Amino acid sequence: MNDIMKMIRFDLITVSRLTVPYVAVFVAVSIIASLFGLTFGILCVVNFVMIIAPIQGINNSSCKRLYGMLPVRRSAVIKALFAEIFITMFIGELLSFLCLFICRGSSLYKILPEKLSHIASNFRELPESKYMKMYLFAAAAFVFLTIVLCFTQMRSEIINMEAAIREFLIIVAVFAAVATFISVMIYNEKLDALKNILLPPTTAGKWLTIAILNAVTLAAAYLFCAITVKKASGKEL
Amino acid sequence: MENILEIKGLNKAYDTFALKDVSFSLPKGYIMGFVGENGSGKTTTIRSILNMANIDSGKISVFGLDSVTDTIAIKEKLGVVFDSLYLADHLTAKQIEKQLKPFYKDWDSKEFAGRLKSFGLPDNKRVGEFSKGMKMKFMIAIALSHKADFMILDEPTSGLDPVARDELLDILAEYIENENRSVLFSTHITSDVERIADYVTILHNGKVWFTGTKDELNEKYVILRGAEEDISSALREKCIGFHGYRNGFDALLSTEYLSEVNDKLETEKANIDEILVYVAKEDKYERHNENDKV
Repeated sequence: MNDIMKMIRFDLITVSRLTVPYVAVFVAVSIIASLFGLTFGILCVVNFVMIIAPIQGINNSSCKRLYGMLPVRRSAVIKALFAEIFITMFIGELLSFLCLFICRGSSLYKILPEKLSHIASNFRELPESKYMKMYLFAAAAFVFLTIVLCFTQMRSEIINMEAAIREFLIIVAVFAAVATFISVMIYNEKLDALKNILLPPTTAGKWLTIAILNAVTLAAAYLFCAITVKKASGKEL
Repeated sequence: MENILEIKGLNKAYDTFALKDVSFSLPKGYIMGFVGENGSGKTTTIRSILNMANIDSGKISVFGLDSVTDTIAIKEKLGVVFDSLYLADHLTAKQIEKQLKPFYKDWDSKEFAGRLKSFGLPDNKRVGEFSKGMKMKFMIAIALSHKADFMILDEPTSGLDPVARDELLDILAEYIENENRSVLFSTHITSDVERIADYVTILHNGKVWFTGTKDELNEKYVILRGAEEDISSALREKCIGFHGYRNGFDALLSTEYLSEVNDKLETEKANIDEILVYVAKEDKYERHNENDKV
């Protein structure tokens, strides 16, 4: 087992007792909700699951004294942290895809009270090309959260956690503003070219975008990890 | 004699504190008491040995290996016990074993289970619920399970009741029965050092004030007492931590000046605690004099 795998296993055991009950409950809730066609609920819950695990990972990095005593290079500790963020977020993305898939195929929504059933049926009746957008939104959430968390992890290792959280909040605020502006422009049919890039009309185009988004995220995580290894490996523990 | 630890000319400066030219060595098969008042630099020295602090200059060798370039090989054979538990306290001993085992080539699960049993530590209870003494023993059990040949303990006995302290010292005495092993034991409870250490290093204001065997230290200093008019000014200059009061004075004196002590003055053996107190007093006295000059 190489040092990175050892560290991932180490961190997994540390957080398992705290995280597994939450994650298990939210995964179960997501799948049950998707069986009843409650798509928006699923996305919120899945995103919550996606956030919770890496946050545990970041907290775990405060065990600096322990890491200083283990016979393992600091670079391996850092690489393991970034790998943990990417893997947990990617699992969250796959889970949201699974929920969307279940949601599309299940008819259990019919047994829900009339109002809820009506909302669920609206999603069921969406044309395939529009329903595919939900996959794209899930992938976009994954990209955004993974990149922001990797950046925050990098800043917390290089500077400190307080500065990292401050920057995290600024990035989220700026992103929210930019995303709102672009959405309004697209809604008003002012940015058609951008719309075709962000939301390709064909299913194949959407899957290609999802694949590109994942590749970009992996590259960004790798880049932030490499910078952190370079700048923080020699830092005192 | 082969040294398990050698520190030469260690310098490390922070904004408000610095280690200055720290040098000492510990031979294989012995226990060294590493003493000094709070803030004297004991923990910084230990952090430097563990490569957790980046040293400004100097060289630290452990098992003959460089503490910076060979830090992984060193930590394979090094056991560390801090004054508080550094492991996830919501986990049980069994879960912590699962975490640590892959990191050490020589990890022995049978030894770990045996140590937990002999130290009276439950393997299914969260380690955070252990008493302080149990936590210390647990960290020692970990060190013994990966066959550490050198153990560094940073203030392990502070906050322990006398029974737990006695038990801990017995464990260390048993550990050192193997002559290839050594212990560096930082503490400000000097009675523990008097009881168990073979060597003593006293750190004061980031500098090594004394390093050598405990017997050398015991023979090197005495406490001098008497009336102030009975001590010559030349001898007074040589005293450490001279403290005058209404009916006389007391001070620490190196035994090399014993020939200058007249019959009217009394001397008695100084223990480590007293030596530390006089060293601190001398510091205060010097600061006071400097302030007077200003």
